[in-house]
Amino acid sequence: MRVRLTLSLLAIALVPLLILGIVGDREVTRRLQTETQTRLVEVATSRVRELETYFRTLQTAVGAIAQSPTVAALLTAPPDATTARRRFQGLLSVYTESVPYQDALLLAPTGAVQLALRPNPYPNAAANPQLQEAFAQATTLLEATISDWGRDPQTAEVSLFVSAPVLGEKGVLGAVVLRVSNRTLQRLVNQYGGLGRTGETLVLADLAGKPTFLAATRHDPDAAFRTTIDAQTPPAVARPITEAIAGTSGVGLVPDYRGVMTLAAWRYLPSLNGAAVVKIDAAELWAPIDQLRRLGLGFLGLTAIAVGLVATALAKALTNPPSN
Amino acid sequence: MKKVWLVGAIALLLAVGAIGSARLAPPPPIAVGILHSLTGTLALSERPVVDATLLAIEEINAAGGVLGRSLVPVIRDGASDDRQFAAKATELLTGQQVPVIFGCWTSASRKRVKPIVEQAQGLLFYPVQYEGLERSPNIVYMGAAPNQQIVPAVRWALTHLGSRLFLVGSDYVFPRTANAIIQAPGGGFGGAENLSAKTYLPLGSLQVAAVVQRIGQLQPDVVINTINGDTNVAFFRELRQRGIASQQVPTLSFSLGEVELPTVGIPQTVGDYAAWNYFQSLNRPVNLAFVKRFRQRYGGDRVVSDPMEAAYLGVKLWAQAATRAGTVEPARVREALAGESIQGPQGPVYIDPENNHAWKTVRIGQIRPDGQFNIVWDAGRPTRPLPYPIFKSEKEWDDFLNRLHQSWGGNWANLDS
Repeated sequence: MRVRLTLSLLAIALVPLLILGIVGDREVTRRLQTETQTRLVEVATSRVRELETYFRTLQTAVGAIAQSPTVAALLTAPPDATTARRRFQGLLSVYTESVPYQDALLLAPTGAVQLALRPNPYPNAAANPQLQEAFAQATTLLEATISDWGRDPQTAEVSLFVSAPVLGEKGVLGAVVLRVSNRTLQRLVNQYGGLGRTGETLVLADLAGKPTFLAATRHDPDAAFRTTIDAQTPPAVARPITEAIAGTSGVGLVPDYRGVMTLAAWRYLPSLNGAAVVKIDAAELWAPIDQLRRLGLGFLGLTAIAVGLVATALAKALTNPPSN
Repeated sequence: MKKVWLVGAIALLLAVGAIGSARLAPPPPIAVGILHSLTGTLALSERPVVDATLLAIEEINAAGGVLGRSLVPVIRDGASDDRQFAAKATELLTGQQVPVIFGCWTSASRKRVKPIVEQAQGLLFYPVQYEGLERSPNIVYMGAAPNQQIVPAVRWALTHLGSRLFLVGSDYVFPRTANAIIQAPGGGFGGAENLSAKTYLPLGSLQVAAVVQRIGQLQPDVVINTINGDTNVAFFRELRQRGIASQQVPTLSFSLGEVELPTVGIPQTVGDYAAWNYFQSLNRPVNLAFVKRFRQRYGGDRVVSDPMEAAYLGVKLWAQAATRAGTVEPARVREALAGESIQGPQGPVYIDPENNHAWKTVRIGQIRPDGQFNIVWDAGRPTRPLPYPIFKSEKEWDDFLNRLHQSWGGNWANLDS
């Protein structure tokens, strides 16, 4: 009788507490996960904006250089090489801060290098497909464009070309082309504000059919131009990257290139026709939830012991015959 | 005592039932506007765009709708008349109170609807390539801006077809602006030196003999064709009747797609070129699936064109942005749309946060005997939209447009020509 009463009292006290505990845990977990996801999406959006602003600044600056009468004059009536370089250098110095370029070229309407700031960096411009693509894009679209990334044959730096057409009354006079390395991209990508201890931003573009890392990552300093997504990559790892390059945004729990489970937000990066993936290790993200859960379980355990003691005492008091 | 328990139990059941039914009742649908010409001369081009818009709506509904609510299209007929477009837009926005309109075709109709959408703080998705020189926070331009069609196509023609251009167009704002861009001093097209001749035909005119005769006399390297509507039928027929073949004098068109070709006459146009962002023949898995779905819905003989794909993507992007914003309220959806992207049949499409235009990939196709296109040039990646070509200031372009508008007595087409 006493045991049954003790168990009944325990059930009356603990079952609602258990239900409340489970519902509360699920609700708190859901809210925290939603909040974390929203925050990560915001970080990803802001990262994409920063990167886009940077690439737009490059295009605007090179577009402005191409519209300078000095450039048109250098292409149509070139002075001697030393004077031409000095004038070109003078013009570029205005933009050095906004465009930290590594090479600056003026291309003739044929695509050949007419003037280079560094002596002869591309002796055979026609054989450089990246440079030719930059020239063709700028002179067909008639606006400042960004080429695909490539490894510069001379310096081995990961670089791209920003090019803009030089227009004259009689058509296209040539193009201004600046080679820009991935150093600034690296700096932008390596900002970890809001990304905790394990978070990082991956920037990739489809190069020769393979999504390729364009900058080092927090966990892999050698990733730039070395780490790619290919047929051997597990589909779950490749999915957010291929989706983002195709234009689809998303957020969710996915394993990353290290095989670690992460919460990732992925976005399309239009200037590079690539992808930006912002991610944090799931273990770090869910640590507060796990801590909260452990705290809740501890509290539940203590409550159960206390309730058990009270229930036993109460059952004993109720089942004992009155003393008088 | 038993009675009390019974009454209590019934009351509890009723309360639970009421709460449950309130929660299970389907949320109200969202009415969305579709505004295109279902009658008149432009119905031929616009009806298929309505079909593509409806396909997107059906697919969204099949996937659960937007924020759990199904979409209900409210279709209105612009009747190929821009004043009708204005009247119907007002009715959709103020009468039906739709949060978004998918529609308009000609620039004249869009320009009539623009102030109405802006005043109502609504949202219009415009699916057609256009002349640029415009931006509005209330319009999402899903078609190509000049630098995504006219500019690269003419540059490509100068490089690959020859430098002597013959410009022919209908006499309204799109061809006039396109030709002004091509002829702009310092615009990179060689100015007057490359121009054989330039001529305009009244919208809908079939009197093309004189123009074609002139083409035959001048033998330009390429005809840059901005004719819109039925005039194209007469124009191409006349070209071939006079023995001017596409191999001899190719034509590069800006308003001739898969939908219009059967009407214009495929044999009359084989070998000619068109510039678009999307062609049905694009060999991409996403496109093949899209074409298959469209044909399953509307019939195996139907074709898909650039404005249809743009209209389809417009609906999908709106739904995506509304879901992200958590509301269909236009101002919030507009905010969510900035920087939104989608995997489209043509490739990635991205809404530029600065000007509400879509990043799209430029392509040039050559017409095949089956009415499809061989893609002869592909930019390879989406191009950033620039509604105002870079070789003049925005003010200069706006002044040009205002002068045109005033000279046409406040219309966007030359009704006196």
